[in-house]
Formats: sequence, C-alpha cells, structure tokens
Amino acid sequence: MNDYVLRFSSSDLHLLSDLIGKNWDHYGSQTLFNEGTLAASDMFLATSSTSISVIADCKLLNFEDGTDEFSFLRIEDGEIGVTAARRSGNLYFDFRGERVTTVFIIRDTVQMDDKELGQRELVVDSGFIVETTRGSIAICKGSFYMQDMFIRKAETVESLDLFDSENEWESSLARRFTVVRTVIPVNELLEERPDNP
Amino acid sequence: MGGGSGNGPASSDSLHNNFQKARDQFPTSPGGYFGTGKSGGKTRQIHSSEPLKTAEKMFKMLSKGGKVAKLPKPGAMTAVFKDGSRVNFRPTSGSDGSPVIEIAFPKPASGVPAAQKIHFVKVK
Repeated sequence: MNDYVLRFSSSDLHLLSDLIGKNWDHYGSQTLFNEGTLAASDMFLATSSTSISVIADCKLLNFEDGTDEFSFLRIEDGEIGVTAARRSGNLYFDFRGERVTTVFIIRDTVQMDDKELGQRELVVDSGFIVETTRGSIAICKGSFYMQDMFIRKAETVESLDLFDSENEWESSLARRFTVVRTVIPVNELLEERPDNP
Repeated sequence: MGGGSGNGPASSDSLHNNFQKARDQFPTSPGGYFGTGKSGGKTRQIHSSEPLKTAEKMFKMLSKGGKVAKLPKPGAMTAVFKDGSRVNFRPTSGSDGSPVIEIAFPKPASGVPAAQKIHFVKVK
C-alpha cells in the first residue's frame, strides 16, 4: 500500500507536550471570524509561561491520480502575529487560568481502494485538543486542502464539535474511501517513537 | 468568554447561492468542480488569457455577502460566511505561482463538493 503522510514532526509534538501542566491563557490570530471560531490565517496560543504558533502550510501529493495541494499544520515556538491580533481584538481567553491536563492529537486516516490505482493511505494530523481542568479547546483544520483552522470549545473532549473528516471523500463504484479519526494523547506518540512519531 | 471583537459576524448571505450563480459564467463538471482536472481530484485549472483578472472576478462573485478580510500574505483575501463556508483568493499560489481560489463548505450539498482549489493559468 502506498502511504502519504502529513503528520506533526517530533519537534511539533514536543512543543505541544510542553503545554501540559501550565496554566492556559489565550489563543488568537490576525484573522479570526465568527466569534473567534474560524482562523483564516496562522494562529497562536499561550499559557502562563509558554506560547506557540500553529502554522498551516501546503504540500503537493499525488494521492488521487493527479496532484492536489494538501494542507498540513506545524508548530513554532512563540506567538506569531500577536501584535496585529491584539490591535484588532482577536484574542480569546476561554478557560483562562485553568491547568492544561492533556494535549491530544487529532489524526485522520483516509484509505482509498481504487480499481486502477490499488490501495493508498493518507495520514494527516488535522489538529489538536488542549484539555484543561475546566474545559477543552480544539484547533483543527476544516478541510484536507484549506489552510484555515476551526476553533471549538466544550466542557469535555468528547463533546467537541469537530469538522466531519468524511465530507471530502465521496466513494464511487471504482473508488472507495474509508476515513478513520483517532484522538491520541501527545505523550503517547512521543513515548512510542520520540524522534520520528 | 471571548474577549475579541474580531471581524464580527459574517453575513447571512450564502456562499452556496453565489456558487450556483458563478456556475453560469464558470462551467462546472457534473460533480460541481470548476474548470478542468483529473476525475476526483480537488485541484482544478481554469485557463484564461488574463488569469489574475479572471480569478479576481470569480472571487468577487463568490465572496458577495460574506465577511471579506485581507490575509497576511500580500494581496490575499478571504470571505467567510456565517455557516463556516469560505472562499480564499491568493494572487500567487505557493505551488506554481498562479492565482488560486479555494472554496470550502462545512456541509456539502448534492452536486456541490466540500472543497476545491482552482488555479488560474494562462491559456496556451
């Protein structure tokens, strides 16, 4: 089976893991819509003592017999664009002061079974969930192709309303798709394969 | 308790309606994909003698009634609708440098794909 992989790097996972145990503070972006639930450009988030940025990039993959631009996320240290975001009021403080208990990675796996191409698998880390002592915040791509991100908040991880990863995969007689989403604690991924998760 | 006023609520106008109107000027495949491309692929091409102007024209049609904002990259724009559907325009794509429009619907309807990316390339 041919594999196509757009996962968080080991460095990304370490930066996300570093949020655990800190007190949550805020998230923001230079371009936020719909009451802070849709970021059209890169985002940042901060705890009491750390901050990271979530960058959406694109990569060309020939997954479906033709090159498509797939989006993927990567993490950088520090708050990129925080000054512009602050100026336009694009900071959100839900669950401020609550301790971060876990970070989960949202991993989508698309299996394609095509009459001509055979079997192929696409694995994408579509986002992550920050669980605090009072509620959870998910940062998740809204599409396999777009570079924007949806922000969802809920009291529990289970009740987060994430985008439906099956939306963009329509099976036909000649091509069948199976889409599976898993939510994995970041430290579990780091323990399994610390250098190449 | 979000503290940001952000860009405010998007208009209730529908990207879906704009999409249907745009089909009059930019033909689609039966599956609702603009331009040409591989069957099933979500990246498409529209050939034009003036790719940038054509892309700008399409963005203007699709963004009508949405909340339009500039993106950090030079010349890039986005339009967001209240249901989370959105259309992005970038004058220069990262892959081949051509103007590009991205369209996404969180809840796709029949004949309207959830996502597609359209590159505007110079007609040969």
